[in-house]
Amino acid sequence: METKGLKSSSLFNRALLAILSVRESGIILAVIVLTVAFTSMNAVFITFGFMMVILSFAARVGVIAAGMTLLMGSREFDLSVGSVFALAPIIAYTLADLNVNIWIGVVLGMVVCALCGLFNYYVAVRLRISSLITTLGTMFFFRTIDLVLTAGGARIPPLEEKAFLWIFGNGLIYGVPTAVFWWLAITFVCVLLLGKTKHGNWTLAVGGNVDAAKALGVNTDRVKMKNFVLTAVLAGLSGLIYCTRSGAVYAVYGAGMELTVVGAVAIGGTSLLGGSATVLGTAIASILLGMVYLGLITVLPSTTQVPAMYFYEGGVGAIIIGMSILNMTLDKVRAQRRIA
Amino acid sequence: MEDTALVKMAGITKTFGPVVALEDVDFHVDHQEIVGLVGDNGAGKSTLIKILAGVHRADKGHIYMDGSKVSFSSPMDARENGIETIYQDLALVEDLRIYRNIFLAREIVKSYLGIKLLDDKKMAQESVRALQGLSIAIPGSVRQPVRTLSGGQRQCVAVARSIYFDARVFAMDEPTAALGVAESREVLELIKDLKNRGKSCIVITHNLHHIFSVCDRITVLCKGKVVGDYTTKDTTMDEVEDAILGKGLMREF
Repeated sequence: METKGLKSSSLFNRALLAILSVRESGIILAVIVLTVAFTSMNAVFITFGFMMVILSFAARVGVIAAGMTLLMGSREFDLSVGSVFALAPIIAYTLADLNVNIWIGVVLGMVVCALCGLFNYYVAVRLRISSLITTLGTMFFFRTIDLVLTAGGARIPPLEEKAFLWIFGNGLIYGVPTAVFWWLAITFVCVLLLGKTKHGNWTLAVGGNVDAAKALGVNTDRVKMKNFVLTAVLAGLSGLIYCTRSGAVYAVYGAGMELTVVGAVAIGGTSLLGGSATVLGTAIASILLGMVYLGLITVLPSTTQVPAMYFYEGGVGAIIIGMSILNMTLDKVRAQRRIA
Repeated sequence: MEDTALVKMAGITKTFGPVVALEDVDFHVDHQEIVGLVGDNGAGKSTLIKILAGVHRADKGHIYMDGSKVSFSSPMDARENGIETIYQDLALVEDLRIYRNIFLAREIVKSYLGIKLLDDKKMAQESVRALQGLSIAIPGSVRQPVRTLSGGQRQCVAVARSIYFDARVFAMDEPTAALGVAESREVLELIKDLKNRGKSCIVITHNLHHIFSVCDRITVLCKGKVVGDYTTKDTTMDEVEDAILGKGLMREF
């Protein structure tokens, strides 16, 4: 429809082609539009401090979503990440309360998260139960473990472990929270993992055409196993970072987060049907969600009855649907012009 | 029987539960020979090929290559012995780039500080080389996803993959099934190409015209048994068709 008009101007046309050939162009466009919109309404939006708040939010979602991108690329889901999110800090802090060294607690917490991922893999892939059903079940199951271990209450990180607190929690490097560095590092690793390693190539092959991958000798089960474990470990890591930073973990922490994470992956341009995924898109989508959350708080009027943050979920919903439409439209234009 | 056969399958029997898919089947392919494998639906053609490709294991019987016994427990084993199967769905991944498809499961990696990363440049170059000289040209870059290709071009990518990895026998399951007339002809040319390069082919198809235009020999399966083995130039389509339908007399060979 719009392509006809564009053919008249070849320079504009070429610029458009260049923009379209970047896979993440849709989501980048959304970030720019939102930045301009929110800033014009409240200039605090582009201050350094406020950006750090947005990036910290993005980090919490983005660390998990990076792993989820690979998992969804291989055509599996994990809805249990919210429950696993709370599990790692609960285990680490509980053990610290029992005078176990915090680093041993961290490692054990991660191991338990890895086992959660392994369990998801076993039921979903080996027993062939849809991963949506499997992880819906384990989401409840792992939450029970959270509740039992905390006796329904909270656990506090060991305040005397300064190095631990700095690395996972309140540390700043040039004013940037360590959480943001964790997220950037993990995003970088996952970009390489998906785009430049055998595992990444196999992940997309398994998600795109599992029979083909199998016929060519890819161990498809193992590929999925690695992605389930990766996602669960990153969920635990995100929990450890967030809770150490915020100073406590409650048994219900992370509830509902799984859908925000899946939302970030979908908004970023990863196919829900597998075979096509972008970690970079997911990372930008995580920023977008942070912008929506904090942007709405700054621009909407807040009352005691209806605080502005109530609108966040509505905003996320709008972004999920809006970005899907935008991505689909861009894909159509790309297909017309045969841009891969 | 001749020991000169490149591939010989002898006395192959395979059952799936109560269903006898193949019963005491003998099948062979000579060097630089194109063999058509025909039969009605359910005759056991695909099962036979899957056994050769290492996907299924035969309950009874043996496979020989150049006279020595081999046994394949996985598709990888078969491929390492030079047997490449090109499946009906071509075993291509739509969203993966052409060269990533060609090197799928056999990627070229480069080590950076001990971390093995894919060498995309090398794989793309090698893919261009593998595609060169095949009778079907792929327009555009090998970096485009397979999704953008036509049926014949996909066939070509699958064949290029096999050639690159030094396949000696190409087993093609319905290579022309989803193709139009012009594309089918291109694929048949591709098969002749392979023979000229000294390769052997097994072609499964329902289209007897295609079989007669490229194959040196035709083996007919009916209800899990070999019911005919004809040299193409000494037989007729009617004769082969009768055999497929089980009307032909059991030949002694």
